[in-house]
Amino acid sequence: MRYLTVTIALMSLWLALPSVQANTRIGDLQFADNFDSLMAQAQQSQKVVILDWFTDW
Amino acid sequence: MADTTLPDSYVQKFLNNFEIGKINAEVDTMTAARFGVRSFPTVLVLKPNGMEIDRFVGYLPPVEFVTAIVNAMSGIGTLEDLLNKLARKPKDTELTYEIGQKYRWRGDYDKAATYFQEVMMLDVDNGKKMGAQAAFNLGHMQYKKKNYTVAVASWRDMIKAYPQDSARIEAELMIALSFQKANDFKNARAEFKSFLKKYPDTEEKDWISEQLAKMEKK
Repeated sequence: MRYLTVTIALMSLWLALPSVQANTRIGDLQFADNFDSLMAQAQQSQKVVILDWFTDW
Repeated sequence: MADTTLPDSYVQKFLNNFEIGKINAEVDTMTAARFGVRSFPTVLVLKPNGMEIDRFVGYLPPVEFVTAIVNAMSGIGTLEDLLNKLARKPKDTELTYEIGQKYRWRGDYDKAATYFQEVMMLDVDNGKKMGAQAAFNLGHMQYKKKNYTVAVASWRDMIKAYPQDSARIEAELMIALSFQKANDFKNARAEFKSFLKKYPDTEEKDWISEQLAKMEKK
């Protein structure tokens, strides 16, 4: 049962990944890791990066 | 910005050529600190290697947003461009002020202060309305650094030096807010009440009443 739960959790994570990538276009970079991956993506594509900082205040 | 400018179809088409990130400054404080982002909204334009090209603070409607990015990529109006122009026209008040703003938005408050102080000397009679604004910004940078006592003193000096300038009104409100932020509720209440008495039709009326109500509980 435990293995099944872990497998389902991993599969959900895997399924969620493409949407995180797609969201990077106008998505939420909520963690520094995401920022680093965006910069890595920029280095590969050689595209200029635009970052929009906002608050909910 | 995120709600209106970025989803705009014209902007969306333009943004196809860029890598885009939308960052919630309340959640990702680390990245904000890394780039010295202290005002919102801020748009940062970076080279693919991470080097900053330019940044813009405040809301930009779609056309202005695209123009600002295009100019930045052509090197127009960037900090480097302005510094080069100032080297050719060293006593230019507008350029000096703009450079001060560039450093301010980059969170480099010491350098920004040098330029704002220069503006106050260049526009000593406040004929261009820049002396008062520069003096206001000096107070605001202290406020951002949470040096509330220094911010209040700075704004009081500004009000004394430029009693006729409209920026004085915002300084008066910021003084009240600084006291509140410093948990000096007695002075904050007094300043907010005096502000309301002086400017009864202020647009900030409801917000000030909210602040006063909040402080009553403390």
